[in-house]
Amino acid sequence: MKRVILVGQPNVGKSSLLNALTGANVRVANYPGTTVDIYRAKAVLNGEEYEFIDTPGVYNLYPSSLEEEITERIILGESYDFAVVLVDATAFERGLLLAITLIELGVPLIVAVNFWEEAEHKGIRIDYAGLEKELGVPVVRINPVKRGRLEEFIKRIGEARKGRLEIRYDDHIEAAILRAINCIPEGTRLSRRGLAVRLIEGDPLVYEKYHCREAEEAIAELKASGHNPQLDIETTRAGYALQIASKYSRILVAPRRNRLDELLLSNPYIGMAASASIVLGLIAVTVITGGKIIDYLDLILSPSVERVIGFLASSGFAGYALAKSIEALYAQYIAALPYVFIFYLLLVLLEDSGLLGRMVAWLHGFTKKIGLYSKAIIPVLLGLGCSVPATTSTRILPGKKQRILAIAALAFVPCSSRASIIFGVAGRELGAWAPMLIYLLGFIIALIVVKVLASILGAQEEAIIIEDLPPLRRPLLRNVASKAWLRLEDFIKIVTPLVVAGAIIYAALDYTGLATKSLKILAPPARVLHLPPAAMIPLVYGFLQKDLVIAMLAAVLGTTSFSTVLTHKQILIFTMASTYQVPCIIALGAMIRELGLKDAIKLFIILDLIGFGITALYANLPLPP
Amino acid sequence: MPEDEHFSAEAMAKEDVLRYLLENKGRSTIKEAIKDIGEKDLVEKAVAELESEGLVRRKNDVIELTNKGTERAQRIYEHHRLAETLLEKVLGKKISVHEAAHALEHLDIDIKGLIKGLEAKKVSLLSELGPGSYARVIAILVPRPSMLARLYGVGVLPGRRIRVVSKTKDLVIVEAGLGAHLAAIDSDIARKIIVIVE
Repeated sequence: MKRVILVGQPNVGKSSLLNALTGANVRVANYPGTTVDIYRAKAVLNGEEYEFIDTPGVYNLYPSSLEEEITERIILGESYDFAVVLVDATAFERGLLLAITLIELGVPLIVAVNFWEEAEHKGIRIDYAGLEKELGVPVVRINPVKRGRLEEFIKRIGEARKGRLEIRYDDHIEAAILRAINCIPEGTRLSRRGLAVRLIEGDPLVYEKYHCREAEEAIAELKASGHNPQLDIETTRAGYALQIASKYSRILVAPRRNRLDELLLSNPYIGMAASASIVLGLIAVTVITGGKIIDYLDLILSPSVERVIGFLASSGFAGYALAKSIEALYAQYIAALPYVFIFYLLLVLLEDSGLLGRMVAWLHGFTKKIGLYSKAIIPVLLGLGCSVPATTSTRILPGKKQRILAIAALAFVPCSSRASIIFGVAGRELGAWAPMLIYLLGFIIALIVVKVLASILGAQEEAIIIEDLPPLRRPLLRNVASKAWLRLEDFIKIVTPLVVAGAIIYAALDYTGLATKSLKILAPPARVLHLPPAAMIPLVYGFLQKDLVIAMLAAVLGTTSFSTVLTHKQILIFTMASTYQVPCIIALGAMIRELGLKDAIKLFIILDLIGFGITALYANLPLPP
Repeated sequence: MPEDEHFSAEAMAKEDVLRYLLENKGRSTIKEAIKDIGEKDLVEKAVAELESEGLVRRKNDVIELTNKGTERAQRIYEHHRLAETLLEKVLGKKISVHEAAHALEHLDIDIKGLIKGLEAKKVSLLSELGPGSYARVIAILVPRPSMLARLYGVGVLPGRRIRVVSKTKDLVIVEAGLGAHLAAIDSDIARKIIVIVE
């Protein structure tokens, strides 16, 4: 079986090619030691079995985020037979730069040019045969969305080979490369010269592998004599890409521009208004559609599930734990999954249409002021559905500091489970103003926390953006659904074991009566919050299973009409305390996976203390009950 | 590996010696060079290194440029002149002449075109351009390679013709490349991109 990696810039059509070649047979798995999703799928082409590995999109081989780092790690370290480098014909030289970088590294490859029809429509003409000759690798046109020219791609896939283009640098760089090459053992799969170039370029991942003192010395000497080898190499390589692109492409007419797009991009106020409308629209569609699906599913499934739970709950501890697990999974899947899936659908729709890129640009002026990279809007939007995938999606941000900021914001962005408490407790008992107040306050707290943390961590430098704005394109629904479904599968895989673990722990505490016995310990914080001690049980144990908080509250209070036993102020306090925190053990698990145990626990304590402090402050304000 | 650009005093002294010799018809005494440049130890060390690199010849106290040295000195001279003009006309006092000269020297830029542009007062920073302006990128003074790689990756690189689509306080959006692709560039980065306005 041949293993093939798909490499290309973001939005170049890697996933579409993967789907077109392999159908629905795509598996998702994390790259070892990380939470970055890698999609793999097999297909038999020309009578031979191939496994395709879809790598996260990269602009260049010098990682600015964890995702980009993984792509480079795969290129440098994974075992594969060749690469398919996807190039967007409408941004020809950008993709060419990536292809040239891989050719220099000695990666056998085939160049697949996507969006060539769109490029032709724009008057761009590319000499594919000339380009193929120049690079020394096959260059084929594809249209994976319409399955256009796939036969030619499949026919030529076996011709993938190492290119013959060699980039020559200035003498001083060449001398340094000659020294660095001694560190690369003979027989290395990739080009020794290509790896030596990356050593002189200061590529941290190649250094990690070869620890080349000679290269370090050569770089130090070059710098001492006023050179900047990194800049020299990058610029020379980019110059080659530009030169080749100019030689083999031309434009017949002035580029057609989207005037409306440019108008929207040029006015920050229109942009902010558009972003706000998109976010509100996203929430409205998710809440309304998700709510209807949930109601429908609940109506059909809940009587049977309740019967099963009731039967199991009276069959000893094992049965009780099983009942609690089913109850938790049912709550998770029925209450959260439809929201998450619809959110994923809409988010992929935004991504594929190019709107998400524009939101990143629109919000930049605002987010930069608080030290946050504007792409953090993606985890924040996801966080309105569920904090777990939102936490893992922070890997798209540059640097750990930015990831910490985005994860911190998530503690105050209510997920769907917290939303059900906000609407089901505060909304139902106090009216529509209460949820609005809690959301607004959460938003303000998130901004303040991010700004303060950004100053403490010195994260402002990482808030500088250089982003591609892909052209506005009509997304293909089949692709959108397929991407959203793959993400949902990943979500289920992460969440299910943690939901069951949380449910079993809670079952043990409840079955043994420890939950009730802990009331004494919970009395002091209850006094601070001016809540009855029993109300602390759902607050504390809700951390194990957030979706059961309302049911737990009803059980400990002995009624579902909370305003008969709690004052309005207490209802608001309870809802705030449930909302402003790292919501559950599953979200904490995701934080640990992303930030490491030490940093995750530190952040968890800080965020929960902030949430508790703000709630306690409100509880102790001399306001009418 | 530190990402920040480093300009050593030794390297600058070497360039200063070459430039000084060129200004004095390729020949001078070390004593006179020290008088002009200053820093006796640095100059003597620089001369020794330049001699070992075959850029200058030394006979007792007299030093003169070799052919290779003359070629290098001319290049440096152009860059220094360019940098000084850039500082005066475009960059203000943000970076020193030496720093700019070194930064520019290592970029593959069209020096003649740049000088012509300077004479016509057409050199500017990307951040200074208004929407609708066309310009050609001639130099990028971004110190971090990861940012440079990203800029190149989104199509903004020396030699590339660009059009400014929009400009706000924090962001410049440019169109780069054949397909009118757009790239959003932080203003802090745009302030480090030197362009010739077309």
